[in-house]
Amino acid sequence: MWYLYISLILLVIVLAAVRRKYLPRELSIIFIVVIIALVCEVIRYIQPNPYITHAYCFTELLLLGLYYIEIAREQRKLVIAGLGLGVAVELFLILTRQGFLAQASNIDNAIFNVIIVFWVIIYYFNLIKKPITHSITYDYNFWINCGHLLFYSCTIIYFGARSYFEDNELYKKLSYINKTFNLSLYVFYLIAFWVTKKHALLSNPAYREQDNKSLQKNA
Amino acid sequence: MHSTDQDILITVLGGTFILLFFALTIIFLIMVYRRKQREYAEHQALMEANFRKELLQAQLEMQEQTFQTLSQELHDNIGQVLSLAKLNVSLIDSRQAPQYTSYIEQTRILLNNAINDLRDISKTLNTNYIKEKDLAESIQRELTMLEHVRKFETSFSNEGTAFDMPPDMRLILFRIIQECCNNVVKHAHASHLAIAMRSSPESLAIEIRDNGKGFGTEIEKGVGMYNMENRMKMIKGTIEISSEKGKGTYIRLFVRKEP
Repeated sequence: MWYLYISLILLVIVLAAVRRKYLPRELSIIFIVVIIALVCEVIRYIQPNPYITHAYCFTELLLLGLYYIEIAREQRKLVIAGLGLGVAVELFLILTRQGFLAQASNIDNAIFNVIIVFWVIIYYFNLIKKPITHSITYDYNFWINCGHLLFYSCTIIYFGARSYFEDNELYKKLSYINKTFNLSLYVFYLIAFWVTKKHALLSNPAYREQDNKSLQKNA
Repeated sequence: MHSTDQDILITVLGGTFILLFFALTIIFLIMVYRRKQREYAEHQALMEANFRKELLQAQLEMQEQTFQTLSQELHDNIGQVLSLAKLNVSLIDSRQAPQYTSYIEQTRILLNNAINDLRDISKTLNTNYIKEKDLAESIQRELTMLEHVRKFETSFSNEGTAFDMPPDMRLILFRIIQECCNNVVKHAHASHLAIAMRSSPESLAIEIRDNGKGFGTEIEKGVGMYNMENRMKMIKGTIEISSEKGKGTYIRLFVRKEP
């Protein structure tokens, strides 16, 4: 499963590189997140290290915060508040729990997941208010947020309760939850990078007019 | 497996499934909602387009009705009065007053010109006449009238094989050409106006060119230009306007036969 996971991340990176001229700023942030994820996964595969896990989760939260500031400009204060909460939680855990960074505990991860799910809801709220310009299937942010909603909401309980089964045989069974949703996240990322070209073309008014005409003709 | 482990397993799996269900429901609902929104927006746009089309159609019908009435009035009233005046003038015996012979002759010629011009104007305004007559003939008459009335130099060429078009299309094309001619008279300060028609059984292209002052890109589209564009859209044709300051204006109308 690890190889499948890494292959999927590599595929996302290759696709993003191929579509680089269609990538807007927000997708460039996601691209950086994916590269960091790949590096961390490889390091952790070679030598499991709780420091890397904590550092990765925190960096991911910061980068996704930037991503949500970019796509939900009207609600940027709420996104920044979420970021503030994430930083406060991380500091609180480091200062109050001795050796927290050396432990495999993922309570910070669970809280970060709640914050990200909150950002996803903000995005969806904005999305349904936005006027329609083209089909949602060509909206890369929609697909990215589908991946975020599935992965970050469905792994909250897993990460929150992980310290209860960390050194036990249950860990092996339940880790499939994390792996499966991680795979689904990168599948959604793959879809998002795939539709960037069509999205860029549809954002061009001349192409849109042509596309509408052909749609009318087909109708 | 211990009962505690089983409890943890059930809690984690159960909780994850509930969250998964909610996440999938949210995604599904958003997809459905956006699709409905899109369908609604498309429906609105279609209704708006239909409304604009009907409005334009009504405007055209009203204009044509006015033209038709005007044409009839010119022909039946003023035309009759002029004809009667001409008849009266011809009854004057110039032998009784030989010193007025030249005046009487001049008046007769003037009345003749007035009757002919009036007949031409009446024809260009008459909707049914334009619909029935060949487009090239109507254009030629319009240009001749311009030459008489406005002292314009005009030229007209008609090449190619006949393009069979419905009467409504003929009327719309003629009205657009009339609008172009009016614009040349009113704004272009031109001395020469040329119209070239190239037709084939599949398509028709009409080029209107003047040697007037032209206009640059800084001139905004007026109501007349929008009307011309909309009328061309109604007959699924295209209009292309290009002009440069001091170099005249070129307009190309193009229609293709409906498949």
